[in-house]
Amino acid sequence: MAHIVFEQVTKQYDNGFIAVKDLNLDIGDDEFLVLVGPSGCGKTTSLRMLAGLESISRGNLYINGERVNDRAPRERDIAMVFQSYALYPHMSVFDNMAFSLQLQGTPKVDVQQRVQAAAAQLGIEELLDRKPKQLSGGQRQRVAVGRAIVRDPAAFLMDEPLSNLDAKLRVQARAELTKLHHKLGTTFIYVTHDQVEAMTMGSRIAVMNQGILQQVDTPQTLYDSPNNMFVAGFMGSPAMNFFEADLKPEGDTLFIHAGSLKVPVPADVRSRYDSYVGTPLIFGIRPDNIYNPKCAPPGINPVDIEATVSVVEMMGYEEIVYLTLADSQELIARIDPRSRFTPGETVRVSLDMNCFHLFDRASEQVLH
Amino acid sequence: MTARPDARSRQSRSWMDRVETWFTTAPVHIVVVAIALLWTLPTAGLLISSFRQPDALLESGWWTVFTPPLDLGQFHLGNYGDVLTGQGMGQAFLNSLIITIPATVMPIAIATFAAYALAWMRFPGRQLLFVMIVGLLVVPLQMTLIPVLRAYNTLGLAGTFFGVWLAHTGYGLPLGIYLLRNYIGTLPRDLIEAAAVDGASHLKIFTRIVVPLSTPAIASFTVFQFLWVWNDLLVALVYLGGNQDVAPVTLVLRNLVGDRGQDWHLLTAGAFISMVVPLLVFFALQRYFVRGLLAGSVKG
Repeated sequence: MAHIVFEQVTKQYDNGFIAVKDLNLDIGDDEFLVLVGPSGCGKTTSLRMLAGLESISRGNLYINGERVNDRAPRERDIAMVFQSYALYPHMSVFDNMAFSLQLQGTPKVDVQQRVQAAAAQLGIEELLDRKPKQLSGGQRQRVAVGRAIVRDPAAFLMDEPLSNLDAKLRVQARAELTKLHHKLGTTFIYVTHDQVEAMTMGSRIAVMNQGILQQVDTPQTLYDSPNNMFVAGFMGSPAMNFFEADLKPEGDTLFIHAGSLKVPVPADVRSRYDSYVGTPLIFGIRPDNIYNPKCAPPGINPVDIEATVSVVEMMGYEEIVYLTLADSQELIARIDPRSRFTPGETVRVSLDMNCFHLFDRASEQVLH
Repeated sequence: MTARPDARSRQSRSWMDRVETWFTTAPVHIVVVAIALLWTLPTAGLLISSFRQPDALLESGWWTVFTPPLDLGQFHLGNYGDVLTGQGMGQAFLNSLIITIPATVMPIAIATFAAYALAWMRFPGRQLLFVMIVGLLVVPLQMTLIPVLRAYNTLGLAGTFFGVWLAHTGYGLPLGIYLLRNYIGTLPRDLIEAAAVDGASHLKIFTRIVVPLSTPAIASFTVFQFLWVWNDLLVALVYLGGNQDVAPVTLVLRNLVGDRGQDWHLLTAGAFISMVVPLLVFFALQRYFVRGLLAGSVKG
């Protein structure tokens, strides 16, 4: 169990490059926090600073209330699973897992027992005598996790531990790690570039971009109410549709104008946006909030628009449709598979105006 | 219906492949074997000569032993007995071991520690230090002979084994540090960091992770250093002087050439004694050069 606090933590390299800027993050005792972002966003650097593998240029890092900036990795009581697994190639699986315990001077009987227990938990008991090179990718990944849990550390750090697995194994390992987190009830900090992993595993997600923390929230909040355009576009696949837009009042109604697209702002939220009339804005709507009117579920606030289908990707359980508007703006919709849209066809689709987003075009921040 | 022609074409293709492979690789193999034979020939001659009777040795070439019938009676071990006891080669052999083993172990130990520090520990001036060590590789050893000998005379180290160990350690270190640093520097960073997170200090990382994984590099440097020290004449001659009690085989062999230049049976036996240890060392360590020690650590 560890309560971890990043306080204005900055990492600046000798060449002046700032990898992480003023990171403030409070990670609770038994949280599964996922750090997510595109490559080079500083998520791995943040994790490495927490592990003690990277020095902290400015700011403070606390584990359970103690400032640990200047402590060596071995003095921080944390375990880390590397992307490459980093198994010791000259040691058997047993020795790999026992290594940290041996260093602590744990009695041999205890080491034996704890390694066995961890191996049983991960289903790798029959591999204990093997060398890493005799293992498959999935087995290596388990051993790497086993090496971490055998120590019973205060926190687990994981740096893209699933990215070397094939797709099927990854889904399986994802669920196993989530189960493991529930069982151990320890702090997990998990770095990934994959927003699906972030959404499925995290109890909270921290989205980073260019060294700056964009938003920290539960997966659902992050998805429903992104703070800015980056978070909105990064979370969710296919990504949110964005249109350059303006607000114009017509009669009693406030309309969002985006080229040929003209949709009314629902009356109940109108008051929120009145002051933004005339400001350059971005209108955003997720592909999942666009429906085929014939298959639309109840409870949405539909506004129909007309568009031409350019590409249809049939997934079986859904259809990803690329649509072109009259002024050749494009949008992507994720609709019911029974729709059977065909390329070239002109169709009507409904935008669910209960779930739209408006951002300031200059600051890219969401309008409140 | 489709399987059979497929299988047949695959079979014929693999047969063609094999012929093709054989024709493309054969010239290389032939050249390699020829060079190996050519280089082994003098050594084989030396070995055979060292077992022949002194008179026979002067009358005919070593290849005549193969003229049929092959007579085992023409060989004897007397030359070795003579040279080991009569000519002081036995003592010299021991001296050589006493000189060579510490003079190999000491630089390896120091160089491996230094290489780890230069590769994985952060301290100011690390790069500069490494560049200076590499620079030392081009300093000719002869430049150091006089100042070091004068220092040894003052310190009373001239003519002692310890002095020679120190000298060989110094001469071997730049190459050792250079070789080992380059190897240790290529070990996956993740391994070192994983060990650090697992709770290992620098010393533990060094002994438990780095040294076991660096055996190929350590073995090659061992062979280099061992052969260099074992075959060395100059350093031993300068720092040990004419002291026969501590003289290694190279010194005794040189004296033998001077004193007993006509006695080929002694020279060949003496030469072979001086060769046998390096051969053993090489064969003992050669398996480390080919073994891939890092397989399975990171990635597939």
